[in-house]
Amino acid sequence: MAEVKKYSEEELVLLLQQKDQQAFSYLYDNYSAAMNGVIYRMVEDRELAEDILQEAFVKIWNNFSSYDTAKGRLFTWMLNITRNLTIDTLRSKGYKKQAKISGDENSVSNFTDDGRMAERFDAMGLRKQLLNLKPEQRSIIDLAYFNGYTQDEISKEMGIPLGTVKTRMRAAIIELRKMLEYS
Amino acid sequence: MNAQEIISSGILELYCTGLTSAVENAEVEQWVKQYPEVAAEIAAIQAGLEEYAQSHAIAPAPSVKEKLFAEINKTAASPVVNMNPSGSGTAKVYSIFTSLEVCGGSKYYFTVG
Repeated sequence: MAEVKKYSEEELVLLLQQKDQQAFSYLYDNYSAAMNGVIYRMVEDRELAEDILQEAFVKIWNNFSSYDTAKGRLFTWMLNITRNLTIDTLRSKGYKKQAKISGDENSVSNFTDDGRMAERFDAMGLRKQLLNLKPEQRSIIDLAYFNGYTQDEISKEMGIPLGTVKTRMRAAIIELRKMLEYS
Repeated sequence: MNAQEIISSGILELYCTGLTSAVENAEVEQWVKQYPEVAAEIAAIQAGLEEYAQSHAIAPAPSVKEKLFAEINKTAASPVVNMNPSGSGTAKVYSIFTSLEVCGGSKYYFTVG
């Protein structure tokens, strides 16, 4: 912890392609808590979540050559791996894929969980912003992005026609982006 | 469809939240190459979602990182558990790892090579 090096996403990608462990350590420090948060929401078991997190990072390390910057941000790719691994793990363990539909507070209530939040972020400020998202807007984002639901599953879970998933998702993400654009 | 029609159709939001089919993914990835506006829109959506995920962050126990680094160094010739390595020998490790890439059935892993 003597010096904290910062990398741009481009630098990070380049170094990770060369199997640079210091860059990997940085990657872990910056993204593990967010990924762990997603996994925890899917499995609701801290130990299992951390096991999956570790396995996900091993895969990210071993498969870094398959990351293609043209397909989007690094985190998106990492989260895809993580979400698929979590779903596979839940299936192999005989768990039923279970969603937690956000109630008014539910979706952001994990903030206070154990007090072990990532403190680099202005979590409280962000939390306040996100509370302005309507519960159904959070739900549709959460079900897809955090829980890996399909359009069909979302339509059933939320009781909305399949055809409206797209328009609802767009509206929710537009709202989310509006909310995050504070500076 | 032109870039604006693509953007307002909602398909990019579905793409970024993992709700599109393989065929649709290929289509979106084609548009990304074709239209800079589409690429920019996807980057903005993903950045928003990334911040959303970060707002739900839960720090894992410190032991996870130690175990992770022990694991990735396990198959190296001379195992070094080093969280801040100088970078020596990474090329050798790389070749070992590429030959060992085994991944459980996910659609995201097949592009190795």
